Amino acid sequence: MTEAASGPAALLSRVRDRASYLAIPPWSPWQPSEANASRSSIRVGRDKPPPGSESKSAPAVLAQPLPVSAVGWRALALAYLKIGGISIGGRSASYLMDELVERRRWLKREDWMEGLMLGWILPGPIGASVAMFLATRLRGPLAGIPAVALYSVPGIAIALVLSVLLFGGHRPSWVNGGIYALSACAFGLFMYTSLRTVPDSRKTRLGPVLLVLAFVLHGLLAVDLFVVLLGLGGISVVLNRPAAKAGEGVR
Amino acid sequence: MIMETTWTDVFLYFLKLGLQAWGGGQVVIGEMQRQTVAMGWLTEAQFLEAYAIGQMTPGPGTTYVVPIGYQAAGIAGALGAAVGFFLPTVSIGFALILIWHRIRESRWPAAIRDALMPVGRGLVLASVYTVGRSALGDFLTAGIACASLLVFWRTPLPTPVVILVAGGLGAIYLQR
Repeated sequence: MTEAASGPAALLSRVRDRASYLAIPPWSPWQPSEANASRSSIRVGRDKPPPGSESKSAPAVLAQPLPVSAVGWRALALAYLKIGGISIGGRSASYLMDELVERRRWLKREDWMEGLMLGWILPGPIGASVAMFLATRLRGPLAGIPAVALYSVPGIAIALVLSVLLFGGHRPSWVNGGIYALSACAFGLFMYTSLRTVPDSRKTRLGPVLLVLAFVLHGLLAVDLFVVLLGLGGISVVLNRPAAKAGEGVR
Repeated sequence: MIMETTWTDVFLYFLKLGLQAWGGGQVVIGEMQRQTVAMGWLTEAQFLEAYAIGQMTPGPGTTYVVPIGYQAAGIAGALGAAVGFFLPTVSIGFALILIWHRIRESRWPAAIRDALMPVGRGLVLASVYTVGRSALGDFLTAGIACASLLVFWRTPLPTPVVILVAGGLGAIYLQR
């Protein structure tokens, strides 16, 4: 064994190689390839990240490019705890968009929409699925379950306290009044976040037409959500298939 | 002899419901109401009260399983209900999300994702319409919702402030 092969530099090199190979597989969305990096939805440039959102945890010794983790763990945890603590009135996915997309500008509306569509087809509460998806977009798979815990546990704890205090008993009239106004306000937030997504539909071929058709079929004619998603979604996939897009020169 | 409901009964029941709730927790609410009332865990009126408590609490809208579990088997039942109902999301859902992350930037998955966006937006607007039809039952509710919409849209006020102010004003002026 030569001195070079056994010296500290060689050891460090082997550790780097091993770490970069084992720790972050090349498919990871949080370490996108060059092609993926151009599609990365974490906003950079003019959208300056807020204080505390800079990555502080990426090790500097890795030989491979560092993970794209523009949002720090602490900032992510505080954001989810905040959402978990305030998202009263149902439609909690709206609060995720309001906080992570509109206010903090960590993600795009398309990311939220993608998470919502996943929530529609995954088991369990939609908001929890969206929360988990968005957290994994921001910080990788390790963030998924802690994020959904931070998002859910405050509500579960409060529901438990309210169950002990209020269940089966008479609720004071001021509590009813507060719930009434909170629910209406939460619906206002739901309208706001929903309307904010509408202009983005122009990016897809026949997007506005498909949007209106989906609204009419599901909203006005009460056609089942899955039928609309599969039917109109199938048409949209055909219209916007990769070959068609490439031929058209879009993107 | 009446068998007492234990927290494990509650946990297993909500675990089963969580596994059936593909597409969101609201999918199984009818089934949940029918079965929990039939099992004698709570009455129809108590179920509605549990739903109201769920609306009062932050986080996922399905926290109404907590008061149902509480009524069935006390605090342990409440925790069993929450863990059972959320477990499929943080296990199966999480695994599927990781798989989706792995393939989402490939050619076809990325194309499908982009293609589904306008349909998804239309469905969200449809939800606004259908939920609004039942939720905005009177002019006062509609007025609060529209005023909130304007505040969220036109002012930089933090969401918790808006929500808390609305709740506070409701508690003072809308006692019912």
